[in-house]
Amino acid sequence: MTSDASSLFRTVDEMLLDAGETDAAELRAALLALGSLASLPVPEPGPELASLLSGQTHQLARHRLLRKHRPTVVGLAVIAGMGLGVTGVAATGTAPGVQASSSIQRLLQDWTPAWTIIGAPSASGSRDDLPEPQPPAEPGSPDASLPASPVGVGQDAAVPEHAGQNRNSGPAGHGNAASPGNSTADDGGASGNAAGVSNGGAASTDAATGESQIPAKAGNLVAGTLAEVATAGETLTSAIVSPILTEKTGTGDAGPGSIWLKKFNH
Amino acid sequence: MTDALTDDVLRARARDPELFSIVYRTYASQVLGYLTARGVEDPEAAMQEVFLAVLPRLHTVTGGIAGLRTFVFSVAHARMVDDHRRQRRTPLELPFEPELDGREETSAEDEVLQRISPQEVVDLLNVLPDEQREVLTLRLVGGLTVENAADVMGKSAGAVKQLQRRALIRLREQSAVKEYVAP
Repeated sequence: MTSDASSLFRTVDEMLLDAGETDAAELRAALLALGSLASLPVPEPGPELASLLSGQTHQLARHRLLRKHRPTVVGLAVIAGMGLGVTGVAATGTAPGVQASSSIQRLLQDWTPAWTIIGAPSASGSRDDLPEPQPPAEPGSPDASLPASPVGVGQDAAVPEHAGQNRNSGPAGHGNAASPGNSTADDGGASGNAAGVSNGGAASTDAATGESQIPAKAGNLVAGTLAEVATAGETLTSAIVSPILTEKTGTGDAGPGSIWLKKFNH
Repeated sequence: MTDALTDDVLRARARDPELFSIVYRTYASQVLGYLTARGVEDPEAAMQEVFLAVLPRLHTVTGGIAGLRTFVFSVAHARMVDDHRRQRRTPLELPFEPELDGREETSAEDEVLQRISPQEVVDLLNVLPDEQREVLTLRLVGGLTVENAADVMGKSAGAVKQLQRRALIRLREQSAVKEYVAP
């Protein structure tokens, strides 16, 4: 701050000289004191500003990681999403809790996922600076893209069959999907990332008011569902990057989704 | 930190979140000081709003660091004007913490500066007409040149210089009075 101080002195002296007031000590003192207001302690950024300052860094790190493991992401996001789709999802903080999961399951029973990739290409407006069509962790982004284009980018032919299979499996313990989802998130090799995704999903939802309002604004549970599935899929995906996942997905006892997932991994 | 920012860096890293932090850290206290000196109702909140507006638009800034500073204070100025319009209906209040911190000065200057508290300074400023107050604040708290201050205020450099001179004369009269009444 010394350079700021000396530039303040220079400015004050220049101003005094210009006004022909070189002799006024009190005036000089007053001007310097005014200048010292530039050195007030700055408070911590509030939530909106904090998320602008740090949330983007977080976002950027997540995206770099996902980009690195893209092939895996593409293939397994589907699997993870399918598995979780049936059994319900609770990996993010978007849904209020058990009740939401039940409704989600009821919805999912009649719903055939036509998409093959979660978090399809077009990012929402808030993330337009990211060139890669990555599945963003924010519930808001997949939220915006999925309802609009549920068909997504077809890459995995295996998906539709499993879609049917999962659909019929019905509402097995949705709570179980929650545990694999959460435990994988905790233990995933990309733990910083995965944890960040599931916890950060909640955190960033809370922190970024704009984004947390998007599911509400979408106004329907399906959007929330898709967001959760996408985010949960991403959670599992990030964890899948590390080999630890395999044993974890089987942890949740029951869930035909879990069994199916296990089959797929073998 | 300001030295590290050049026009090219600014343009290249316009959406880099680290740049956001650098810009914030560089200008936050000055913007806060400016808004405080200008009697904004909640200077800290207003300061944050300024950056919420400034940071996403960094990529539009031209003119290097000087241009950035001008831009930052143009937004702060607009925020201040907005605040004053609102305040006209409610009593003016200066929620000001009379604590100065973070300055490295020589001891002689310290003495001089300690004789006047920030609250006194703001009170002193209030004897000035709005535009004179604005010029002094932009120049001394915002660190703007005459030309940049003129940009922010939408005036010519000559007009700003006039306002500056008059402000100093007016202040001096106040200071002189203060000298006589000081205990």
